[in-house]
Amino acid sequence: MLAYALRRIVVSVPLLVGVSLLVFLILRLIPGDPAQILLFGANPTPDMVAELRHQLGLDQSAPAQYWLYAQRLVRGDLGYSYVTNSPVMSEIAARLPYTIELALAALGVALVLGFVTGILAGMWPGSVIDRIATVVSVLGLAVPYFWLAQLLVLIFAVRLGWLPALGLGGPTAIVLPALSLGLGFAAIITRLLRSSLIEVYQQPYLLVARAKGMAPSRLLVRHALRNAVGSVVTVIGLQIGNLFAGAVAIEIIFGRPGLGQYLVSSIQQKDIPAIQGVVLFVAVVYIGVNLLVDLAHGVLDPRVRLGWSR
Amino acid sequence: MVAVTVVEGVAAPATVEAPTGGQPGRTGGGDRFGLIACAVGVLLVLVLLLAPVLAPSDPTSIVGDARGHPSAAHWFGLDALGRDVLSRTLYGGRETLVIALLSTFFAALVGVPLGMLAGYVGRWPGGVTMRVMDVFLAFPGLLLALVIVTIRGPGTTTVVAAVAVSFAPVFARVLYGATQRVRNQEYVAAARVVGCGPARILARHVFPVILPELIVVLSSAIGWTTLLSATLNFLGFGVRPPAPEWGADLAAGLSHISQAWWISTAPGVAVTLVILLANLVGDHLGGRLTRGGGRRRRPARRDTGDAGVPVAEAVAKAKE
Repeated sequence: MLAYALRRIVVSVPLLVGVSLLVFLILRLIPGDPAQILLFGANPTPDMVAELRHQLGLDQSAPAQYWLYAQRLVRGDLGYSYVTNSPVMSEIAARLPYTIELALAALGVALVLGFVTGILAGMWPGSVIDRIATVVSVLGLAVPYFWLAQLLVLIFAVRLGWLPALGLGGPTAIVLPALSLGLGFAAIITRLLRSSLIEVYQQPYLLVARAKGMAPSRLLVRHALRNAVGSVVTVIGLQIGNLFAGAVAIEIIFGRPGLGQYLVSSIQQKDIPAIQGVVLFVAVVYIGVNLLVDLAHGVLDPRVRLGWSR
Repeated sequence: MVAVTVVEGVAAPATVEAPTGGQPGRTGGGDRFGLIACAVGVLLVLVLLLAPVLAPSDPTSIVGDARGHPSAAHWFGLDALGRDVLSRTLYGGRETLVIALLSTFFAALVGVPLGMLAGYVGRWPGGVTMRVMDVFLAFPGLLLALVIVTIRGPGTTTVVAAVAVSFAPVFARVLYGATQRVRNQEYVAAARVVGCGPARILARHVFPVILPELIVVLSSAIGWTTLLSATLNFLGFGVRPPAPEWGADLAAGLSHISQAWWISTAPGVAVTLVILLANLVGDHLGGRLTRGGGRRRRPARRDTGDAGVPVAEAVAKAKE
């Protein structure tokens, strides 16, 4: 297990370097001089521009600039916002809790709904429950989350008045954003878990266990789920990135001051360090989560850590 | 005649096996839905092509009261400025679909050859190429698209570029895996021994075999690119205001959702329909192609059957 963990961690390092390189390139690829953007409206003299370029390290070669950038990243320094002049790291830290809250709540919705319906449908394929679950999940996969959000607001906030539509007020404010973001994800889990369970239930070892008189609940928990859940776990890890990405639109719809909203306003204001910071931050979190998911998968399924093909 | 029977004889066991090995509980029905989905998809494209004929009014001209209710004259109601929602949805769909199709095309144009070459050549050049693709895949699709928007500034061509860049690595991933599986088959080795060059082997011996997988990914990709381009438009990085587009119109409906739900309903249903159709067609083709042409491999693996599941899963499967 340790060897597997080490191997997975080592593989992540070049990925992180590549990600930082790509994010660094954003600044180089944007047309126009960042110093000019910063001094826009101040009628800068060439001297002022040159001075600022020197301060920002823009007068150095690209590799030297990347080296500087990478050194700062390792220290957790994401640069300073062009708009507010405060460290991007602290801007991110101030908004992160709202996004984490949203992502976790949506993940909760997805896991609970996805596992319950996926297990029910997978245990009794062809039943009424399975048919309803299939129709709902096929629809759930197709509905764009930013329209689903509007429908939920219309029904539960405007018509029924049960839940708040906007802002952060109280614990109920998270319900609609979490449902909007989590339902599509729940549909993915349902479909995946259903088909893996159906496959697993046909394996000879389950037939043997059943023939020996094992109770269906024990059969499910001890034997079927453990084997079926592997592919689901991997997809959950990959979908975490989509939760962060989906948060962009959901935070704007529900007026939540999280990372997604910050990213969009930074793009509108051409606040390049902020954009770089958020994008890099989310990518690193995404890589980290997937590393953890792979490790968890290795714990659950010895075949994975031993590198057997499935 | 003899040849036909032989082919049928080979194909028959695979067809019989498919229900047990592949997709228990959804035989027959999935096929019927798939065919209906194909038909509806063709109809939808026709309707959008005929928008100038079918639309009751110009999508940008004001034809009635602001936020007018759906009525006999305006089936889907009027938007915040009094423009006909049906006309805007018809014209907007042209924009959305053109972006989705173009970006899928460009993503495939870059991703497919890259993935095939990396998969065929293997060793370090293939490895390095795929590690670079992994770097792109380390960003959630929308984020990568937003990076392109940052670099290029908003606009329709930006959206096409952004969506294409986000999905090219997905195509590369899937084709890489598919090519690797085919590369080590005896007939490819035989072709190499006979003296075929890599270009000929890839074009004549590898591509036809992995084509079914590519077609499945392509059809599902239409759904993914539709969603992503609508999202970028929803966020305001696509078309300029008076122009109709589903994502942009959904955003416009957001601020009026409490008084006029119908503004966002038609574009919302439209986006849902396109993604639904793309998923169903992908499922259908996946089932058909792996059953019909897949007799060389294991009984229809699950991998192309559940095409309804988005990118992340396609990537996950390709990684296996």
